[in-house]
Amino acid sequence: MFFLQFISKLIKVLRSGESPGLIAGGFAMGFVIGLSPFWTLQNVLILAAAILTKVNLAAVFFAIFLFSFVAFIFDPVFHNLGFYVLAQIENLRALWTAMYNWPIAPFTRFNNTVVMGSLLIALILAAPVYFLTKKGIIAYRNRWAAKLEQSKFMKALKGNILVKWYIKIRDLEFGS
Amino acid sequence: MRPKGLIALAVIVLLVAGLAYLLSDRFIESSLESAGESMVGAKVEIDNLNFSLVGLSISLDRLQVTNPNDTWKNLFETGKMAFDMEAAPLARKKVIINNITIADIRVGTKRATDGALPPRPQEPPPEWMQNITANLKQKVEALPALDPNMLKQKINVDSLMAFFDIQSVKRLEAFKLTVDSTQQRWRATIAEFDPKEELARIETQINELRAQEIKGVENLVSALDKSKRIYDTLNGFKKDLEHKKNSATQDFKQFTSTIASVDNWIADDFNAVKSKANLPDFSPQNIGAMIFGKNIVDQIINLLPYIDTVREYMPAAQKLQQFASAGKVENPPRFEGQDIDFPLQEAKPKFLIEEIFISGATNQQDTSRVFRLAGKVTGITSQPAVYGKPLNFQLDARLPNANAYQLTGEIDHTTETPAERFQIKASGIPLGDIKLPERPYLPSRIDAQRADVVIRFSLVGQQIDFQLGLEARPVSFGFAEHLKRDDIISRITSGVFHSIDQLNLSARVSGAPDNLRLHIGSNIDNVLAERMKGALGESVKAAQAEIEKRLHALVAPKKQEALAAVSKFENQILGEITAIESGINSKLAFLDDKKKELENKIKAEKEKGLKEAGKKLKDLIKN
Repeated sequence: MFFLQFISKLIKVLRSGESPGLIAGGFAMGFVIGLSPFWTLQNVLILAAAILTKVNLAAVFFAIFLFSFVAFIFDPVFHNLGFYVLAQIENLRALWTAMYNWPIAPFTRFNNTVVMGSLLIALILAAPVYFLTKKGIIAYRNRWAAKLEQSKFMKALKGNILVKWYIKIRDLEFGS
Repeated sequence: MRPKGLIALAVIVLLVAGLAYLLSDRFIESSLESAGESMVGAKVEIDNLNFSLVGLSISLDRLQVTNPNDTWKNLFETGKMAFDMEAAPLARKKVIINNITIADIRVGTKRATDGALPPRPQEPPPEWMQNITANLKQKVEALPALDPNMLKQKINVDSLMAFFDIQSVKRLEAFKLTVDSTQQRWRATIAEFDPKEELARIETQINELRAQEIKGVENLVSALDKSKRIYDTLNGFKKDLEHKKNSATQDFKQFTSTIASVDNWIADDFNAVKSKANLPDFSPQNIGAMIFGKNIVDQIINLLPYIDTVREYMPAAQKLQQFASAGKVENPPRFEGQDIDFPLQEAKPKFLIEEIFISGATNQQDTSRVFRLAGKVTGITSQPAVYGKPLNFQLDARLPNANAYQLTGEIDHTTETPAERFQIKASGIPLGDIKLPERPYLPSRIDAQRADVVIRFSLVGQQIDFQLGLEARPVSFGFAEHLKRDDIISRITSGVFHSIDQLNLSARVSGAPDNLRLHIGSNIDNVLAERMKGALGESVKAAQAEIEKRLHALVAPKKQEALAAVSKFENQILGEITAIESGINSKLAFLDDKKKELENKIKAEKEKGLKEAGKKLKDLIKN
């Protein structure tokens, strides 16, 4: 039930008048958190920032949920990248050693291969994810939302039992 | 900013902090209890542990550690205790406690409940422990026993020697072959090296350096250069020969040292023949070992599991390095990855108690029997190599009427080889009735009223060294009824043991697991050994002497051959090398003389030239 509510909230988010920038910001924050193991200082800080700022929280949690699956699939890639960066680049050894000696270092878990690998990927892709999400939401609202609603494909789909369920769920939230 | 978000965040933080506060006491208490239980093997109970976030201090009302050998008693229990932890290392899951004072320690107190734990699946002991235990047991089992049949034992030395494989002869033959082959190798080396022709050529060259016949400074300097080149060549030969000489001398030393071991080889053969013939050996060393060997060995074997536990929980450096340099972990579990450790500027072990001060007393109701305890333990850590200092302990226990115990020691696991050393000194202690192994004719118990005991124990890697010194007085011995006999051996042993009222015992068990030496001596040994030898069957004594004589007769010619081979090596190989060396040295000395002649002539020629030039200059000025 929670999952269905969650999906319906997301749809509400996409169709509502909330700023695409705030939705995309929340999605990018969730992307960074979801891609790496949750219990790290940086993730807690990003989540706290998400709660305190006006970014869309549904987008944050949806992204966390979505990218946790992605992270599961790409875990070996993160491990290999993290090991390479932490253990095999001699020039970075001094930097890691200095960081390892910081009192807060254990809370960041930066010396874990999966944390380091996933964080690097997440930081590199965070900006593109933000901009693409923002563009996508605008495009969806301007062009695709109405067109999709009127398309033969959608009409055919509406006859489907699953889709009827979807509409029921959606109307639970937006019908009244 | 989202005001509702701020409130939600504050609620979450407060909730987490509140839960941590409520659950931390129980969590720390059960963690400490289970860690203690896995070390001791019996229940460890902590009463009312209280963890304070302010100052990170821990206090508790009582700590009980069950005696694993008697689970209705405590090994010790304490009164109230309090100590502080360092804050920064906790972030790295490291527990660092600077000091703990245990002011009210009580030893051997009764427990209200049984402190036994459910039996755990037993892991096989480590290889070093198995080796030491097996060898110690084998040493005790191999000790001879007093047997009435030995009085009438008949031994056929001919048949015994005919079927015995004498190792000394074989070893000497093999040794001689080694000496011969080494000699051949050296002969080939010397033949290849021998610079006879070069030395003859050099001699001719040196002879050509006739300073008186060489005219002009330039020719003299050229001759001097030539002499230097010859010197370099000769010096090269000399250095090469010195290297060879050192190597040959080493071989010779090795041979002489092997020859010196021949008597030990014969002794080994003699013991092997005796063992095969089952000949009783009542040397004084065996008497002490027969009576006290099992008890002493059992004490050492009982001690080893404790050392194993210490080695498990305080791993030596090598084990630690194995963890650190494990390399890349292929395919770790999803989301777990691999932690890469970097050097810490102030590396601290995962667990450390720097100092524990102990003081306490037992039986405080009766002050005449108060057993006082005081001491200090330093450097208890799970990572000794990181801490860099060994664990040291010093405990003193004393009763008012002079019973005193002192335990000092060191557990050094800071290097790759773990080392445990301790010493126990006890004076005026009542040993009481001690059960001895039941052996025919020997006492089955000893009652010692007061004793002074010193035990020194060290285990470095797998090298054990256990030393015991004991003086007990008065002592009395008891014999098992079912083993009593009425014969001459029985009369001798009971006579000896009943006449003794003081026991001086010294024991030493030392060496590597596969080569343990057991030596136990006491004031009883010589008396009993002499009387037993007198009573031994004449045939046994004669057989022993005959075996020894025949062994020496068989080995002597082989030893002579080996000695001759070594002597030949010395004369021929070392002799030839020395001869070549003296040839080179004489050429060097000859060359040295020639060089001096050339240098003097050059000097004289230069002075002469200067004078002539001066004269010509004067003539020019005059004209």
